[in-house]
Parts: sequence; structure tokens; C-alpha cells
Amino acid sequence: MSDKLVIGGRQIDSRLFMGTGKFADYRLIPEVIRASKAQVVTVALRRVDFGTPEENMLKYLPPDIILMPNTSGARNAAEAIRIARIAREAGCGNWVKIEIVSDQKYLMPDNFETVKAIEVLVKEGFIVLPYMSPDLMAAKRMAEAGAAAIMPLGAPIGTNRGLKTRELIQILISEIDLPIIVDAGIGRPSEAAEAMEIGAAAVLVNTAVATADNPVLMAEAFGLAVEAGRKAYLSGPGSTQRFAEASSPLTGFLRNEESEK
Amino acid sequence: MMQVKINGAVAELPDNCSVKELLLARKLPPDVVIIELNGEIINRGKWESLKLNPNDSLELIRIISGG
Repeated sequence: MSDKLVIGGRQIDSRLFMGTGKFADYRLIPEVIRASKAQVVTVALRRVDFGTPEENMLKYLPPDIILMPNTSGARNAAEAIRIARIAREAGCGNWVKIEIVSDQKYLMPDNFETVKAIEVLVKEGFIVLPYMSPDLMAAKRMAEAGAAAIMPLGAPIGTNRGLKTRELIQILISEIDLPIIVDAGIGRPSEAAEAMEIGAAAVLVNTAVATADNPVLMAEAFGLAVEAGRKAYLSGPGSTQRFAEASSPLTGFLRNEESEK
Repeated sequence: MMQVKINGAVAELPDNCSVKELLLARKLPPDVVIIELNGEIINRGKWESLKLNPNDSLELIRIISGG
């Protein structure tokens, strides 16, 4: 069965997108990417810190991946637009994950500013994937503005709490004609599989892998879970019922009395 | 000497300092840095020839890991 994810004209072979933050050592990153089979990988931009020696983290990324710089640190549309332009100029390609946050406690994305940023960046030729709070009307505005996919949060960033917004994400999946990629909050492979089973197009994980005792093994587990969840979704799961329904035939039991007709 | 702003902080640089000389002085490997001068991104090819002026505002940016 052909089941390809296409975003911005690119065919994506893996439905697991991988963040590169929080790893104890950059050298883990290529192993994690290999083990997860992720093809879309996020990076961030920051001011140079003169106090610490700089290393070019891009050299740790396999050459065949799709780089997706995020606009983390942006508090409004203007800051996100600036970061996106710098990233493209720096050779990161034209994909961008819009991430606009001004709430420091829950790091909730600002859907309103995000719509504004999408409108500008799409016109400049960016492939825009917005990180957002799962709200149907906001997702519709983002789709109208030209977003290439919609990336609702499962739970607040870095919390590993799972698919807390499941019902809202299901509404997006049913109503928005774009890939819905669950970004943020996914803490376990089973939760990634759950997102895929309800029809998410992909899942983006970072903290869950980076904070595992064995990140490479966890990356592999997430890759398998996403694949399993996708296959389950495509297979059309059976319905649930209140009462038991035997899996084995209810006739011809090996009993002393005569079999019922 | 002249004063410029680098990542929001005032810095003293020799007159006619080029962008490339600034990176060398700060011991920054050029392959990790992206430079904005007065709000405009400066193409790598111009780093050697471009001389800084007093009160220029520079942003030195790098790509790091992130989610």
C-alpha cells in the first residue's frame, strides 16, 4: 500500500520528526536520528555566546535530512519572521517551524501571532509548519494563510505528559485538510502510537528521547511506535463494545451434555 | 577606536575593522556564525571587504540544537 507523506512538495519517508534539543552531547544526535529513521529534524537559532566555545552542530546532522529551524525565542510575529529569514540565509533551507511563545509558565504558543507570521512567510516562499494550541478556528486561519501542515501540542513542551489534547486534535484531523503533526508533550512511544492511530500524519518528539537514560534506544522505540500506529490507523480498527464477544466459536463445546443445535 | 553594538552590548573595535577581523579577534569559527548588520543579514562573501562604522549594530547568531 502506498502511504506517502508529502509536505511542501517533498516526500517524507518517516512520520517521526525529531528535535535536537537537550541531548547531553551533540555526538548522540546522529545516532538518535539513525535509530529513529527521522527525516525531518529541528534546530534553533540563538545569539553567539562569547563565553563558551562554539561548535557547528550542523556537522552532526546527516546530509540527507530536511532541516526545520524553529523560531523559538520569538514572542511575536515580527520576531518569528526575522528568525525564519536568518535561518534561510544561513543555509537551513526554506522549511520553518513557527513557534511563538510569550507565556513562560506553560510555553503555550500564541495562535494569533502565529497566523500573522504564516501570512508573511508563505508569501516569501517558506514551507511553514506552525506549532499551535489545538483550536479548530485557529487551525483554519493557519490553513487559509498557507501553512503546509498544522502542529498542535499534545501537552506543554517538555512535559512528557502525553496526548492530553486528544479530543481537540481529533477535531483538527477530521476538519483540516492538511497533515496534522502532534508536536510537544509526547513522552512515551505508546502515546506517539496513539496519536498515529487517531490519524495524525506525523509526530515530533524531542524531550522524551533526549531525557531517556538511553536516548538511542528510545529513538528506535519511537520510530517503531509511529510506524505501528500509522499501520493501525490505515488498517481501520474495529469498533469497541460494552460486553464481551467471544473470539472462538460458541458451538461444539467439549462438554458432557449433548451439543445444542 | 570606535564603538559598536554587538548582541546588544557596547564594544570597542579598531577603526576600519572588517567583519572578518572581528570574528578572528573574538575567536569565532566563521562556519558557525550568521551576521546581521543594522538589521540586514550580511552575506558570507562580503565579510572580508565590509568595514564596520561607528555605532553599527551587529547581531552574531549561531545555529544550535532545539526542538
